[in-house]
Amino acid sequence: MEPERFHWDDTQSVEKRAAQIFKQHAEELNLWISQRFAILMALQWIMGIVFAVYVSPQTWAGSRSQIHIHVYAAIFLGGMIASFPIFCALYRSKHWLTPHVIAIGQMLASALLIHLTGGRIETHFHVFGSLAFLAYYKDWKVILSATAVVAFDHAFRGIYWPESVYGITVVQPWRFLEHAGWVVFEDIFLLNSIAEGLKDVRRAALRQAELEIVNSLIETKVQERTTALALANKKISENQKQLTQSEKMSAVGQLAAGVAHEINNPLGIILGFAQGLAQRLKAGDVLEVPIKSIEREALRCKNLVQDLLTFSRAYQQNQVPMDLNLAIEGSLSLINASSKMNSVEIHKDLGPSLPQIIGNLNQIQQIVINLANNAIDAMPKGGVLGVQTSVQSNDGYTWIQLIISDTGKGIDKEIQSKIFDPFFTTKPVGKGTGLGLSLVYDIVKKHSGSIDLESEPGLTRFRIKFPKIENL
Amino acid sequence: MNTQKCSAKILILTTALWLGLSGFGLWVLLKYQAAPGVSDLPPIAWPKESAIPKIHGLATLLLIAHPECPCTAASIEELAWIMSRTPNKARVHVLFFKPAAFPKDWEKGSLWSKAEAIPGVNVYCDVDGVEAKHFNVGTSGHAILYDGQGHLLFSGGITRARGHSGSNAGRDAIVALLTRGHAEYRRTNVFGCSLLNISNQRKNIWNLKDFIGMIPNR
Repeated sequence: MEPERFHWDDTQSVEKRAAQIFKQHAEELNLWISQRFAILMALQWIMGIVFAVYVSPQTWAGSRSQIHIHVYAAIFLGGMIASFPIFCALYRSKHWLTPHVIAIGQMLASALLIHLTGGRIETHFHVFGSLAFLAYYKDWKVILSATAVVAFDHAFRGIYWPESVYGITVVQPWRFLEHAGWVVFEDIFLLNSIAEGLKDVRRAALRQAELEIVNSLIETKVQERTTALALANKKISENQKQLTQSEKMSAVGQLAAGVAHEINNPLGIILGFAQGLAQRLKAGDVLEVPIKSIEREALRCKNLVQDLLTFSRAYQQNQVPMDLNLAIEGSLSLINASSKMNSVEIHKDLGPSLPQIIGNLNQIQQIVINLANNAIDAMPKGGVLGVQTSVQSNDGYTWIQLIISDTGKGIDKEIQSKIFDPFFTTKPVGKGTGLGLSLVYDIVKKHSGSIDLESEPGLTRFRIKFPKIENL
Repeated sequence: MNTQKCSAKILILTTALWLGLSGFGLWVLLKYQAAPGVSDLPPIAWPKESAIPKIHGLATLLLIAHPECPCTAASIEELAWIMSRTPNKARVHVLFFKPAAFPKDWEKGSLWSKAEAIPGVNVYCDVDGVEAKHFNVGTSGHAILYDGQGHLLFSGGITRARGHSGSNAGRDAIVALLTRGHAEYRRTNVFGCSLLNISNQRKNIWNLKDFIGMIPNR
């Protein structure tokens, strides 16, 4: 399992974190040791049974024999001594009592093994080895529990069966201290080792806490920088897209200007002659229909050429401080007639005391006229054309906002990403050139602004943002 | 939280119960190991009916043992210890009990081999415990020391408990008698299996009532 990552917050001190690490280390260590003691105690139990069966399988009374008490003791008493510490090690490993149960159990196991081996001196080393292993807990109280069992065992036997301990029947009451003293002798070194070990662990915990905190701070910094880098990359990507679009529009503009210039002169001649011929036609002349058609189509071509020239000039106009509301008022006066003819009601909501923007009056008006005309076209059965200006700000940044909305049929989501492309149109052939919204887009970008669209059936809203002069 | 407290209480109570039962079990074991067998006093003079050779003027040490008694291994070890400290101070005989009906060489097990390996020790087979009866011995591991004139000097065990070797009063007494002529103890408890076809315990340890009643045994 992957260890939980540490995240530092300002409220946490190094010492507090070091204490947490120390506690965690102690718990992990206790679990590790307890599990190994569980294995050891199970093995000791088996070993005791094997030993009893091998060395003292039977006790005799003359020619009769029966199973020796050592065999029963190894199986049942040994099993009881081992089973509870094993249970605690496996299922209550975090309880404070578990190391003590294991310590006491291990000492009882030592006592049993010593009995089973006839009190051999060699088996007494099991006590000393067990104490050394118990010292792994790094807890002086655990050593104390184990030592208490040894001392009690010797004191109890010294009082009631002194011969079995000392070989003589009469001993002084303090004699058990001689045996327990050797255990205490080892304890002194073990306790000293535990104290030194704990110091080392605490020092290591403190170092780890310091490292973790430094790492956490670095990680936070890296995350901040990564986020900033991601934002910068996004901005660069957006700028590259805008640059590409601008280059595309510029190329289209140059092409349009060239084409328009080349077409304009021959078209003027065609239109001039067509109009001259049309004036001289008599009523009912067979040429009336074709000549009038030539005049009409030539006029359409002239309008198209005019649009192309306007499009191409979008990159050539000067910008000065100007009032957005005034430009809007001028534009709306030009479309009033058209809106009335199409039963479109104009709702104006122009923000008072609107800051000036840097712009080109003709181009701004071109934006309003193009968007307004599109809106009127989108409402063939009438509707509401909304024009709204306001000052908006967010996160310390302020901009002038223009919203032009209509209550028309809306723009399908599938084509919303294409509507600003040159020559893209949904209008019938001959009705639109597909340059209106491209022109709007270019003019907005030329004014360091942005344009976005929200559309659904019954409501379409173009939101244009112009920067305040101070932000330019 | 209450569940945790309850769980902790159960654990503590279970620990106390476990400790009590384990302690009781060890107590039973200790009681068995510290319970001496029958050790009646042998004849104060060397029995004439005994077939064991007795050299006048030289002390004789007898160890009477059951060849399959696990506890007697410690007595043999202690005899070896005595022999190493009292060379040529006594004639030493180890008599291994054997029921007459038992197969040939039944008695010649590991204890026989160990006893035979001790320098200066003579090993005999005591069929049906005839010699043991001459010396009034009923427990394996019973040692008896007679002086050169056939007077009883010591009678008892040379282990501290059943099957427990190590320093003990009987062993030290024999060494002291053979080297200095006097000892602190002349009789000690004998720990071992019965040579007779009856339980050799002074009280039956399997009878809990008697068992509890015999503490302390001093």
